[in-house]
Amino acid sequence: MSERENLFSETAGGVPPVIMEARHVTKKFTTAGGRPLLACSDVSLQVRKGQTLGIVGESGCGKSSFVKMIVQMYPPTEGEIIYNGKDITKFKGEELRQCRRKIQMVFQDPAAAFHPKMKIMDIVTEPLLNFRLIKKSEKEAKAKELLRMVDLPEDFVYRFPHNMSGGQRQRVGIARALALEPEIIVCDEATSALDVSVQDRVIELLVKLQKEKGISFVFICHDMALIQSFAHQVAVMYLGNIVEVLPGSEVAANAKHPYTQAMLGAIFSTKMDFTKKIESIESEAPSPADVPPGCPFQNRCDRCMEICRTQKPKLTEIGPGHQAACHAL
Amino acid sequence: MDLLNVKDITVTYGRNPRPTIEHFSLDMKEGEIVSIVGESGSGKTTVIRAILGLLPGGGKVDQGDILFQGQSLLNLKKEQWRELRGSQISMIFQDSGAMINPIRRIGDQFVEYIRTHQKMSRKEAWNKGVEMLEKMRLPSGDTIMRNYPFQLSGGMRQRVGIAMSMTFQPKLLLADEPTSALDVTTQAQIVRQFMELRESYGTAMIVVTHNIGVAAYMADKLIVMQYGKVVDAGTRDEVMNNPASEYTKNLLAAVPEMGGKRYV
Amino acid sequence: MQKKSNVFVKNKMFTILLILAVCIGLVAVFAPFIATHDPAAAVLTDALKAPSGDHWFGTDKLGRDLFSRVIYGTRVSVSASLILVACIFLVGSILGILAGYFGGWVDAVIMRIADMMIAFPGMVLAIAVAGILGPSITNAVIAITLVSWTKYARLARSLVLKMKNCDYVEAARVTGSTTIHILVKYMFPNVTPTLIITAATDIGSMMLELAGLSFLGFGARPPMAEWGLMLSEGRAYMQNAPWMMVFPGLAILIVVVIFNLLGDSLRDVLDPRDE
Repeated sequence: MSERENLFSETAGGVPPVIMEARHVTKKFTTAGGRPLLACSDVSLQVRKGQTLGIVGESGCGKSSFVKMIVQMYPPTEGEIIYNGKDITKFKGEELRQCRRKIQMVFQDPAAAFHPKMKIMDIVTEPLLNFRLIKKSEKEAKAKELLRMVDLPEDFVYRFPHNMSGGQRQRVGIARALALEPEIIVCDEATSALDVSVQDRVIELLVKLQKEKGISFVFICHDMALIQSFAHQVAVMYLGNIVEVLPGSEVAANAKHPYTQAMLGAIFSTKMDFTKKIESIESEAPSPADVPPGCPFQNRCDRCMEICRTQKPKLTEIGPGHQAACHAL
Repeated sequence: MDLLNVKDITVTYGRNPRPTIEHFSLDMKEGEIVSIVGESGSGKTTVIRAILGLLPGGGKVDQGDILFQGQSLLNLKKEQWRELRGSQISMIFQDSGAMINPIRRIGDQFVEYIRTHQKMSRKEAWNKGVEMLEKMRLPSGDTIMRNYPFQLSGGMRQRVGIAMSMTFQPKLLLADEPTSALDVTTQAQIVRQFMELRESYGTAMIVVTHNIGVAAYMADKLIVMQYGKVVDAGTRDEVMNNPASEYTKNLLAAVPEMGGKRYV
Repeated sequence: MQKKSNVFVKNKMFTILLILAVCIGLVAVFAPFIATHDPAAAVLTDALKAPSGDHWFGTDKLGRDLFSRVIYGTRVSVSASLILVACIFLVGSILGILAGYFGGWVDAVIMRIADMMIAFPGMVLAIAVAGILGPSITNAVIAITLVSWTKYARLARSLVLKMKNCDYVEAARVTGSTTIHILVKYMFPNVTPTLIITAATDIGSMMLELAGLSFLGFGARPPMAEWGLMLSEGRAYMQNAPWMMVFPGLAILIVVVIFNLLGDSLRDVLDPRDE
């Protein structure tokens, strides 16, 4: 057990191996008016074995589009996503379906993520039946086992989703994602619909499962304080671009990009000095259909220079495990 | 005299014997900001709905009284409510976009809103609307008046909502999760806007939110609710630094903090 | 069981109409026991007799007992209408689901065909199709199906489009559900309640369309006892033997009204929004 733990903990010296890598992923949509919308622009990220990659950003920053490509809801316009040595974005038909076994997802709204007329038992075992991994007669026993994993009472298998609280439903969502014993679980704002105390326990559960099973999480979130509390790596996205990547433990002290700092300044904390005026940049993000040339953050940045208006900064290493895309750094 | 006294009210809905809020009391002076925090089902929204006489379907105040400037709000007639709402007490919702008709221009609705409360020409009402929008730091109010709600961002819609509710400089502003649908940087801007309103108009506010950080930042007084009951109440510093109840302590501990507890 | 009886107690109108509809069904099933005469037996000496104790609804130009023919007509008219509605329902919902779910060229092809169908007046197109296929009750059903599925397809398509990007359908894809599984287990059950309500309200008008085609000579052929055809046969004798048109007409009226009202009240019972 201790050996296993060592393998996945950061303190073990060696960094766990990369199991999935997005390379230069770009996604363009066409808006209803026919204008191009750049949801993701040249996104390169790595997911490491047994670790959590947190992606944080405000609405419209492209974080959801990015993970939808990881779970293969749609393919990228350009770039590739390498998993097990293969570009999964090229998969089709049965090959694609088999690949889904290893990459599962937990959705944002636990009220919308389940077929309203299915019982919990059928919901959590549907993935297993899809791949014919269990017989119909084993359904009930397996469902109870899955509920035990997420600390729910076994007799919930007979319930319907609408007879449960938000936190309980989100646990069912996690149980469903666990059913196929995936290597990667993508969580799309998995706790933002929950109350804080429930959120606290769901995160504890996820971290416990990660340690036990060595699962990698890709966790999208808009709450910087939450994501830095459990992600090994945090990637900050702004208007489709990764602007900074750094270890979760360093976000509080070492974040360098002006946008990351603006987000940190806007956080209301229970331990803040309430008499101090809250800092925040005054403007709002432009629409993703109107990204300016050069640095995407130029119009809101107080350190904006001449070069920022014309040349887009590249993501460059500025410290160990720390990258940022900014001309001023 | 206090601006608002809520005296030991109990609210029930329909035939449900269990009250949604029980023995809730609150005294507010002019210009004071009170935050009510609680998780879903705590009854925090019911409190402000009761104050504004807007309890939905079968909800009623069974016990206690609500006094606004010494006058009871419980048995007002429709006419009296119309005079009070908007001009003395107004309300802001989580998404002001939901409050505005999506297929009508902002300006049409703003003008109509102003003219239901005060006799003036369309032109005057329009100018008044533009003036209010610009006071809320919306650039070029005239353009915004000509826009449809969907053409504005969430933050801009929320400012429009605040502008409308502040038109007649109400004494009391009730805000139901006013920043919950917004991004963090926008949230900070809107919170700042609220604080400026109090400074320039002396508006008292009741802010209902699940975000404890926002609640504490804005509040003079803080109320924590659970299952319809007040579990903690007092000045901000009392509640934040020395919470009386176990529930509040746990709630504060569960809020993720920058550089605070790490789960891994 | 408790829940079921509640539905009936709460919806008295629906219960009454349902009982009436069942009665119509029973009339069709037990026609031989209800009819007083053989509906096909022509007794030329009794031709065009007014209603009397022996022939309750009178007789037609061939001396056949009208009461028996109206009773037997229930079999043809009701069963043909039900089969017709079932056909339209299946064809329309399947094509609509496919168009909505797959989108792209599948959607384009199906919906353009549907547009073409809508561009023609339905009855005219049905007459043309029935004319080409030759007159028979089966061909009339096919003809009306061909022109009427579009409404169901559009409805099913819009429901599927609304649902296709729901979290729980995406979840089904992520958990490795096959496309067939999603179509059968997710899409079909979700469109059926709305479509069934539409179908129930359509039974009446479909019956009228069938009767109309038969009346025009493109549906049932003599000597079949079918209400539309009987109306058509009675038309020539409207002045001296009005009962030949009155009784089949009344039968159509009663059955259409019952099924229409049943459809309406079914909407109140089944309305998914009430849940």
